Amino acid sequence: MKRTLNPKIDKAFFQEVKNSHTGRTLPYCYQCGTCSSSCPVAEEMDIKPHEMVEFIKLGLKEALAQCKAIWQCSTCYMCTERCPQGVQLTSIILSLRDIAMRKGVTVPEAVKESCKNLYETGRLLPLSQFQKDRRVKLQLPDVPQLDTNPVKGLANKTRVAGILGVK
Amino acid sequence: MKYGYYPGCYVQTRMLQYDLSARNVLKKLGVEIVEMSDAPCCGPSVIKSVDYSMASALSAQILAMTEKRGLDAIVTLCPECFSSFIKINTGFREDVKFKEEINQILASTAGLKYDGGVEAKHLLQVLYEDVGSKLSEHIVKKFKGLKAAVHPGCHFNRASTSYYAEDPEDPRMLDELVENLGIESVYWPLKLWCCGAPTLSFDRDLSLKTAGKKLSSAKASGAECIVTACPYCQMQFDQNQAMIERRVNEKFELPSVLFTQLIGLGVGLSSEEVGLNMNRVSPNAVLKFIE
Repeated sequence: MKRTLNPKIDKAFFQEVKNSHTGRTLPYCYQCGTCSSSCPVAEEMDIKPHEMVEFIKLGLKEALAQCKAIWQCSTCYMCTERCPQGVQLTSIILSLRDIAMRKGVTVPEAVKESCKNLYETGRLLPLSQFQKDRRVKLQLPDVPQLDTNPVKGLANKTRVAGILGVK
Repeated sequence: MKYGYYPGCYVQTRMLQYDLSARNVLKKLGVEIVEMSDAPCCGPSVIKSVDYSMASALSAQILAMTEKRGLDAIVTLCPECFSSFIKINTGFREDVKFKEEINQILASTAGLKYDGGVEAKHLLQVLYEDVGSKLSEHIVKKFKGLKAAVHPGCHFNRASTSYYAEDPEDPRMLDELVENLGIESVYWPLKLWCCGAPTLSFDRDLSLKTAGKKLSSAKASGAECIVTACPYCQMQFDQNQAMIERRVNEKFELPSVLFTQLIGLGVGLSSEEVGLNMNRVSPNAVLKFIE
């Protein structure tokens, strides 16, 4: 990660994360670093898990939105499990992804594709003809097409529709 | 007890050996299931990264559908779905505001309401807790002396900070299930580590490297196979093993087998009935232990 001398500070950032669905536990972090030493991918991260919390507290929104680390998190929940202060860091990192995408970071292809599949079929992975045939051959029950109205209704209320540009 | 059977998107499209072996094992053990194949996606991490309410509403919708059918429990094959459901159940118990918010969304989109009365179970728990000691009565074949590195999956052990299926630092459920079959569960240092599969679509290189470390650790601990209970872990260790070998420049040739496949063989199912031919890494090294 490129470190800049006078980084942009967003004073409202801490409150923004704290008010997100999963950010309630954020203030309890006392920087012991247990999360980073438990993380299977921390050594590859440009901002380590415990540093992410400090970045939030310092208002370094831009730097966090641009970093690779929030997408490298494998969501294994080891940091959350071992945190002596009960900080739900994995969920906070998921909120950071959302905030980064809102801030204009390119939405990763995998996220776009998942949203598209969900919107169009109600499932993360739709069944291809090949897979349908294989299920028949194995005498597995049919996987019916879904009524997508509930999912579409949901998507239109949330950011999923925005990511797909259908709203 | 009747269970709603929810295999999850990944299992029913790309991990058919898991669907097949789980159904056949449950049938053999006389566990009754009700299809939940008309339920949508559970709202996994990738959807939680976009919008937490949307993901929660999806999981709650599935639980509400199960509740409406008069079922007390839903069984999942995928730990990711399991943890999505557990998050709803614990969230609904602990946070009235969250319950109201999600139920409001549900009412307007699907015309449903969830009261929190469906128990979410992973298939592991059904076999370990509900079938329990009766399982060993069904076992007709054993894998005597086979050494296995057991990998239960992160989202099963650490589904929520207020609900634990078992000790997250020393999980034993899957170990004991396979020990019933005469298999020895070896100690391996990286047992609790993530397999790397969730990062596959964001940082492929990192994902393969993480899996490489795990496979290396399993091999060094003397394991002759890996046992998984998660479709994504199975995909990573089995289907991606050749790619991982190339990335970390190390040969593993370590079969990865789903626990339902092992138990299926143990209760007398044929290797076709547990879909063993669909595994990419040849499971012959495992089969030769059958006696």
